[in-house]
Amino acid sequence: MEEKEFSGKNVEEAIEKGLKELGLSRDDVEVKILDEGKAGLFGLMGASPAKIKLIVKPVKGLETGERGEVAREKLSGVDLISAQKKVKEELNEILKLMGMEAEVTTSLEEEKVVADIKSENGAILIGKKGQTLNALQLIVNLIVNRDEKTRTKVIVDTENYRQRRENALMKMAGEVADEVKSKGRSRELEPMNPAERRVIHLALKDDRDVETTSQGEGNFRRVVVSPKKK
Amino acid sequence: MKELIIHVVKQLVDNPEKVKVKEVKEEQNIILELSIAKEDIGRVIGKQGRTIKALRTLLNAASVKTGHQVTIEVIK
Repeated sequence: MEEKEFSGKNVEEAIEKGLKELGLSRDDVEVKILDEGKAGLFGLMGASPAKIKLIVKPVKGLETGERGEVAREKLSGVDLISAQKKVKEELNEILKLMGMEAEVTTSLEEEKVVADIKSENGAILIGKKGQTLNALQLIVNLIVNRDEKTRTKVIVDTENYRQRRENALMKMAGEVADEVKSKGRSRELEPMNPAERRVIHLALKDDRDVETTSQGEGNFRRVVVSPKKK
Repeated sequence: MKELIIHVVKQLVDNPEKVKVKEVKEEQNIILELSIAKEDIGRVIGKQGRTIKALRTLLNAASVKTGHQVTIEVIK
């Protein structure tokens, strides 16, 4: 059984912090209060942090069907700690072998492991349209997902590239939509990976005058923005 | 370069003991000849060549610093 201690300003905060780090919900764990902590006088003097222990509840045998699915999801939560560790080790090793000085930190977002690389070689690591970063991400995903115990989705990022790229794509989506509206003709975008296409679809989802579809296969799949038929 | 490929490929295949890489240097070019168990070829190449393409991309990024042109070939 997995258990881990957390601390925070008060018991509630400590629990929340722990659940977030483990990627679990309140129902998945048993909470043991080790120290309720003290707020201290005016929140200043004599304050002591609250300490709690989260014990991950064992998942009842894996059943088939829907219940089995639920159980597996929860099980994956249990292993998110070792998944993070594995991602960090792997990335560090690969970057070292690539001759890059880098520091990797990991965190959890929803059920995904997000690895952030700090390096002097940011531009090389990102590559043209993020291709090096995406290659790293693919390889790390393959390695981490070979082992069922650490099966999880991994996002590899550096210098906030993912967010910057998303912003750039959203901006482009808006510009293309304007062009399609004024010319009344469809426009095909360059090929993109699924995550990038998703950004475009979502960006234009609520636009009443255009619609988006994907065309083409595999590496050539791309988004087409067209005027909405009325 | 060679170490990078050996390290990554060994973790992708079912028969890591059969992973061998021969490095051939020709002036600025480095050719890496990768030999693996037959049943592992699919894993290393990947769907639509995705995995081998990612490996090539990593090699290219690593070679920016050394100034070499690196190619990788999968041989049986």
